[in-house]
Amino acid sequence: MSDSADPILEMQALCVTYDTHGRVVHALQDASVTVSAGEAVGIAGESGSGKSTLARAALGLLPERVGRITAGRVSIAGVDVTRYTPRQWERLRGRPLAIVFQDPLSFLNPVMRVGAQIGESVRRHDPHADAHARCVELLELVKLDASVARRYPHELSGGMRQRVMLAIALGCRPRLLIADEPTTALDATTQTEILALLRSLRESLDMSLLVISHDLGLLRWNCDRVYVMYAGHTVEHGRTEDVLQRSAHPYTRGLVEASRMRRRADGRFATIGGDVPDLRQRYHFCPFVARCAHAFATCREAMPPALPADGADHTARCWLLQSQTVPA
Amino acid sequence: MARYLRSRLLWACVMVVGIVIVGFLITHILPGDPVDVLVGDFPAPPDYVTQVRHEFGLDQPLSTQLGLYVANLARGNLGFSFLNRQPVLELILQRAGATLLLMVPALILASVLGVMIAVRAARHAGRGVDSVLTGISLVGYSVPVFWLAQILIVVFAVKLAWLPAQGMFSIRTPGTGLGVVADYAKHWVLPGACITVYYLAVVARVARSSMLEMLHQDFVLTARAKGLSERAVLWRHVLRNSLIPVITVIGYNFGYSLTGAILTETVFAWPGLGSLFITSISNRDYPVLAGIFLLAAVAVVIANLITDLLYAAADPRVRVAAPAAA
Amino acid sequence: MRPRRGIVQGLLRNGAGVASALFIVFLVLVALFGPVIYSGDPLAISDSPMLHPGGSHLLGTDDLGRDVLAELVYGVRVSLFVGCVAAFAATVMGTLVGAIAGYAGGWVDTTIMRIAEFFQVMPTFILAVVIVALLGPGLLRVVAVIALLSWPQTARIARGEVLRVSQLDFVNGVRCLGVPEWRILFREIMPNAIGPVLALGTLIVGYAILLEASLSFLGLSSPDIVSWGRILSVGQRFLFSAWWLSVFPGLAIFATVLAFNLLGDALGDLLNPRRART
Repeated sequence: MSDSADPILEMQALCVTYDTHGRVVHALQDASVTVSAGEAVGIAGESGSGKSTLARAALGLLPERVGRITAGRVSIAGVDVTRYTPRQWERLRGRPLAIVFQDPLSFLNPVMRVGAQIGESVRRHDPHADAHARCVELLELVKLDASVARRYPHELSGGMRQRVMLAIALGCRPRLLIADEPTTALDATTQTEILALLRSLRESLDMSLLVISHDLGLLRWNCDRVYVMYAGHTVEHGRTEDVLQRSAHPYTRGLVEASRMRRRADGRFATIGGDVPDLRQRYHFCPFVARCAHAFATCREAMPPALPADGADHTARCWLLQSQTVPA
Repeated sequence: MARYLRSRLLWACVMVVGIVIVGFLITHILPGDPVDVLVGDFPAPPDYVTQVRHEFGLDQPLSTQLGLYVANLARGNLGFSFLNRQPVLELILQRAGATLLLMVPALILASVLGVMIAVRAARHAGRGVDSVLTGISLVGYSVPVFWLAQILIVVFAVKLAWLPAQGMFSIRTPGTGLGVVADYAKHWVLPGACITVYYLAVVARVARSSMLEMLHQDFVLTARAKGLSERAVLWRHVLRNSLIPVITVIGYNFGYSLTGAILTETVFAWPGLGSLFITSISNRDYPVLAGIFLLAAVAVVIANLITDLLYAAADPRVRVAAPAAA
Repeated sequence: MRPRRGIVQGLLRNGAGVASALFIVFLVLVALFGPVIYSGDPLAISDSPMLHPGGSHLLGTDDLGRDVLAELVYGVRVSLFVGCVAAFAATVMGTLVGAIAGYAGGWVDTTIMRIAEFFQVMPTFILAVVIVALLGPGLLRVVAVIALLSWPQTARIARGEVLRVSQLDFVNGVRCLGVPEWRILFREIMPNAIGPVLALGTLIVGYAILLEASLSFLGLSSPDIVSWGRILSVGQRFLFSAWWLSVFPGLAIFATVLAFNLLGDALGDLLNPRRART
């Protein structure tokens, strides 16, 4: 059914809308992401950029009747799943794709013991295994003591809960693990531990990783490739160092500058001026145009395609690249 | 958990004391001689009146009276009902059985049906099925139970003559065996339906809103992401969490069941505590009234305590920190 | 952060909510202007007893020859009075107490909620019956008993809402501006906590009306006032012969309580701060 050369996850020109009582929000307007075997890919963006929607769309977890894929396609291991029914999704989730969310306290069932929740995952994807033994194995894998299995989520620390979430996801034996803001709710030391854990798991289990975060530093240390999202579009893509150090899109550049927290010549921190884009409208032109210092006429008329930038496989959707003038 | 339960138990005892005091106060708010409340409106032999005055220390200061009242209660002396020619406690215990036979099956049925309806409604929230089911439960919640009783009697007992209109047993009831059970069941249907309708509505409302809230919780997303079937998500994750407030409601209902029985028993002449309560009113049999009040309040306290126990058993988060209010 | 905007629009979208609101307005009008149409004493005998509905007595007459429709019209005032006053009193008391408990926290909170629980444990109906039996009938007594035993429910909701809202960031923001605590409670927190309290208040109206009707049904209301429940108790005696004495007053009670409950539900859905927002 699937060719091992197929990317595990492929999203092309994906558009997703949320429709609540007549109010329509275009959360994804043209997003394209590809993850192949053995890769670690990152998605950078601020809140409202659509990165979480992307993660959910990858697993068919959009809110029923409210979220819909309106255009584009999603394929998992070569199979087109864009029009999959909930029944079909039930069979597909977990393996090959599993997901870990942020703030695990609300993402874990409060009245079920942690071990039981991991066991559920095991029984679903490993029906012939000894659930208990496998559960212990998984806990060890995420560097937790086996006694944790008898605890409830509220009895554990944030870091421990995140590891439990990881164990649940790994119990599915995924080929690709999606981590949606895996460390945002944690303190700095725990963050480092979790990231180190993710790295080691990736190697030992030969698993691909898709990390979604607004923290550029995190993406820098963990991902081979990075996508940058803005207003539901993937605006830049390439190898991590290319995108972060030789950014082609003005938005990326602004992000990188802001993350460095260095003061400019006038003593103020670098930020990106202007307001967050209004997602109630569909952008047929560059969504960043209102905040871009280098915008010109074409930017307001049409959406730029992915144009090549400095570096192999490095593209950005910016009209500035067409004229090949990269501003200083 | 133990500490939480200990504090609840302690507070329950305090509340019972408070209830007794309120009961005491009630018997003394009647303008005039408190003896009337303890003896009732019936013409009582003067020696008995003197005896009551002595037993309850009615010529003595209020605090002594309270002490004597409590002591009498502890001995099981709730007074004597001249109307029924029995000690009040004995009378109450005799009639309690009939009330339980009416309420308990009704409450169980109402709880089970209520949850089933709620699950259905929550699954199809916002659509036709949900509106119909919610509408039905709203009607059940708004209908005056005595009116419903009247209508049921007219339709089923009179016009259709399928079911008996009054009482718990027929006059010529077989003494023992299956025949008695069948007789009781036949008599139970109409009054039982009246009670079930109301409590079903209450349970369905709470269960539905609880389930709807749970369906949008984050952990449901995790459960789905694991690849679990929709049924597994619903039963193992959503229901287990949403039933917790439902347990509370059902528990409270059991506590207030005496109150709920009163009107229904009256219309159907069901020989339980409810109808005893009503006849005692018209006959001004005050000791019985006071006794039933005490029983009803204490029943609520006990039911709440058991509910708290069940709640703590169901929700592990509660065992860690005692909430300020259940 | 006032959520007032959009309440009317939201309510309008909910068809049942509109219908029930309109019905309640109709009831209020009947209560206010009914006596103008039916001038005179509804308790006065106007014709022969037990007349079937029709003709000059649209809904028939009762066992004493009083016009049923007139009694129904006057009965609206009693029901609305009991329902609204009891619910209002319970809501005001409960909100104040609950808000203070939630805001103060600590032993104040625990003590208040324990007291609330004690009041809630008392069986309302039984106590109302006992009081009326001992002291004689009276609408104000009934209202007092209902209010005294219903405020704990409101207090619980109010406390919960206050707890929720006080944790929101804007409260700290206002605090930093130096606004005194009591002002924060009343001007910032309470307006946001009001929603579920109002919804519950509406439900209490329905409950109070049912309770008053039950008391009248048991013969515990004053013979000087016109209550729907009293007509039903007459209907009980003549169940098989005078169906109109059961059907119409029962329908009136049912419709009124249903309207308030529907409105309460609509308000509850609308003002629920946790409505699922994607």
